Amino acid sequence: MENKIVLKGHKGIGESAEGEAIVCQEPINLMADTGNVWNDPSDTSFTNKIAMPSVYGKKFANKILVFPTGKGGIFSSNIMMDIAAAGAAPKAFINVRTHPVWALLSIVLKIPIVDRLDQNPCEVIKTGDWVRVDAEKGIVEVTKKN
Amino acid sequence: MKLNKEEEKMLTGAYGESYKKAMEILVTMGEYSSAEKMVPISWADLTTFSGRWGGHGDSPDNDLYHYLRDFEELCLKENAKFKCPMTIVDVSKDEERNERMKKLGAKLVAPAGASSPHDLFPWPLFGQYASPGATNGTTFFNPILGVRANSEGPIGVHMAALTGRTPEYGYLLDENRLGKVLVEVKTELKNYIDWAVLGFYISRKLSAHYWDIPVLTGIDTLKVTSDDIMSFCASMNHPGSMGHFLIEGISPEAPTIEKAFGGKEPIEKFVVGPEEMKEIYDLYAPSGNKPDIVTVRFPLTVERLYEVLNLLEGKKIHQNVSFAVNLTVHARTVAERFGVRKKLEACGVLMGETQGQVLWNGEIIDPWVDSRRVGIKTMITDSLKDCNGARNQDIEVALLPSLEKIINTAINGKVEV
Repeated sequence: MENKIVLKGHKGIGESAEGEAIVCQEPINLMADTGNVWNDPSDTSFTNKIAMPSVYGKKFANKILVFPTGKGGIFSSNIMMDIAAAGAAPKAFINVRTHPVWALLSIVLKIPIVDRLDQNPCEVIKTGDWVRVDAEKGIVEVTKKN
Repeated sequence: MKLNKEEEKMLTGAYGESYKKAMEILVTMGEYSSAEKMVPISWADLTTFSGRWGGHGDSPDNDLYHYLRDFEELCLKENAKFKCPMTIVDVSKDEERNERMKKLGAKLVAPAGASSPHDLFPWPLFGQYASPGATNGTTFFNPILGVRANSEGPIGVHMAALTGRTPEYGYLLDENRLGKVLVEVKTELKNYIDWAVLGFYISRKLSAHYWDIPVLTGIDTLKVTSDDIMSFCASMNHPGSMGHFLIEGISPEAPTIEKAFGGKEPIEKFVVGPEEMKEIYDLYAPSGNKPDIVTVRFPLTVERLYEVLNLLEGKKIHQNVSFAVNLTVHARTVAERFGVRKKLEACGVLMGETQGQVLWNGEIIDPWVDSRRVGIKTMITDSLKDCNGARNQDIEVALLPSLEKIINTAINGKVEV
């Protein structure tokens, strides 16, 4: 039986996207958390074992990136733009509450983003779930993997 | 969002494509963030992202650099100018970009920088709206000066500077400047590193809800130094993203706990005592491996510049260790004018020219970017920001609790615990 959950919020930025979710429990700072991108922007592995235990070793390229918020420094801007140019950007961002740097990234890179949903996306969505984001309507549809 | 006539004109293209593009981005940002209107900003700054300086991701092929360059060229083509004072620090030595920025009305305010509020001037004033480029600028201006600012990065700063406006959301709103979480500090804070550890603990604990402003109580306000505060501000951005906090008796918006919370009850309370401080020190405790590189990366102010000199004079850095320091603009000027630089270099101290840079075997490197490539396995530092950031290289980065222990480690070539 298909197991679907719908999360509702306000109008996001961008249009719609769908794909497999990767869910971080920790806020993201690409400068400190993804060390391989300096040499290869298409390698989106989380490399910081202490800061990112929930996703250490995993990659977010071409996935729906679910995380509480952005953090620390402003350099996620330039790093994500390099990642996008290398064709490895996430398909959409889902936040508990969006950090301004990530909202601006969404505008410039045309990556859909939503936040302030009626349920905590970091709790409801699990890595591997199939997620459809409709940013215009502020709706997230989650199809559970299991 | 409600826009005034001037803002409407910018949005509809009456002043050209550059203002239209900037206003479109700001309006989209504002609507997403539930802003109801724009407010005028008094100052914008692009200290950190200053072009091609080769550190912390500012690579020559950086796509953000190209995006901003295209925008700056569009502005120049249309003879558009920044509508508010805009400062940049010449971190990049990128003359082409400096010329573009000067033509747009920006002012170069320092030859190199530590990317901290030490080097940002003129500071905006209490109650004004601002658009700071460096996150630790935001974390200093909001709580310590009472300036109202969000942390949007270079794109937001460009658009705000051009239009002289920013959407009123986040820390610009009265209700978001009130305290939400009470933090009782019940530990002795011996130096700026302890202050960084305190900030790191709070930032880590609140990292997934950085918008819930912490209010610190229990601080001996007569003993705090500006270095302590700067160190605390820098740490509040790593590992979390606290753009605002309040310290009872120091923050202008927190003369008392009652005022800090606007008469409301805190939604959460916690204590930071010796055990909590130890938790962070333990997280980045040295393993005992011999250090390859030892750094004082929290920018040296003049006071600590002389402290380093006193600890080092007449001694030599160990031959197997690189020892690098980062200086504020003021400390660098003092070091060069009064012969301190020569004395320190004679001891074996390496001085990078700007923030983020460290000299390693004759090469300027950024430990957050290059450590693995150049073979650094163990780094000892005074900076929790480094501990957090350089860990992305999957190397050992350890924190020591005093400048004295750090310098003794650099002299002896083994970690002084």
